Amino acid sequence: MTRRLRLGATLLVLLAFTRPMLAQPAPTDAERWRAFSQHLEAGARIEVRLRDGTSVRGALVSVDETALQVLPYTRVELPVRSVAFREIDFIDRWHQGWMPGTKTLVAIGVGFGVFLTVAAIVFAAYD
Amino acid sequence: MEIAAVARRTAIGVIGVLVLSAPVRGQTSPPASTPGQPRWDAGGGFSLLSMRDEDVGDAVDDGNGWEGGYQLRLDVGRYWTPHLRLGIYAASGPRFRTAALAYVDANGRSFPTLIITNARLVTLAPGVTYQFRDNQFLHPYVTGGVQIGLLRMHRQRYPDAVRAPVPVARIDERQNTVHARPLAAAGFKAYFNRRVFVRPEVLAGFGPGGIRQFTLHLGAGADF
Repeated sequence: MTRRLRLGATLLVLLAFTRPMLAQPAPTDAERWRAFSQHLEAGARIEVRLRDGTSVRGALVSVDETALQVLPYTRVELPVRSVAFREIDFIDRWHQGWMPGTKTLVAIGVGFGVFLTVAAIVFAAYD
Repeated sequence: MEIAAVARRTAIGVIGVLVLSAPVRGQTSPPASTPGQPRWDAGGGFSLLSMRDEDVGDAVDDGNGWEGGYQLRLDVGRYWTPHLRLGIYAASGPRFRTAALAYVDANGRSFPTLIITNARLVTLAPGVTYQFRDNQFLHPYVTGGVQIGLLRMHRQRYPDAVRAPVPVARIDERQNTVHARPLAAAGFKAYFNRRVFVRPEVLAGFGPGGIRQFTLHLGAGADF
């Protein structure tokens, strides 16, 4: 009987301590993204994917309680855009690669080189 | 009285809409429009083209139906909206130089004479371009327009170069021919920075029998 009482009391104590812990609300996505953003340095290149399916690429300007501010990376400069944490689906660092113009010239150069090589091989084969 | 009630309800509705649509702190701001969009672009480039013999007239006729050449091209255009551009290009070339034998009869014999033809095509092509995507570093586009070709031919025969027992008439003829054809083009502008771009393009000029001219173009230019 005493053993049962002890076990019951232990369980009660455990439940009493764990209940408030269980009841503590888990951090929301918005809070997680705010915490994440606060660890990024100003000027960091980021890509922010929004819940509506759109995304913003740019440089992080600042972070406040409810939103982060991004300077969009666009051809024609745009004003800083505020993105609410509750709208954010995902944030990732973004690395700028070659510009499209450079990629285009390289692709054309490679294509032309391959064409010349094939043509040279064909001519050599006919000789 | 009734009018006043309607006006009051309308005013309340308008104020309500304005209040609801006012920016709220923490709300995601919509993508901004592009007020600083450059209005003009200009550039130049190099084209490889293939065209039907008929479009070169008598200048070249080697029987295979198509002639190849190159063009140097200058472009200028103005954007009326971020997507719609009116533009024109001027292209010089290709040039052709051919030599043909023509026989002159004298004393019952035929003497060969040489007729040299120089031809040069100059093209002007106004067109309307629709550019896809907004404020990006790569913009595909399609163009429709008119290709106006001016073919300048110069035929010459030098009598001194003929050893015939009779005088041979000098030929020195100049002839200009103009043709206009609908054109369609597709390509893209790929930027190196916010203003300078490279522009690869394929272009076709249409006429009786289908495609009369096919061009591969590589240009570069700048927005301003």
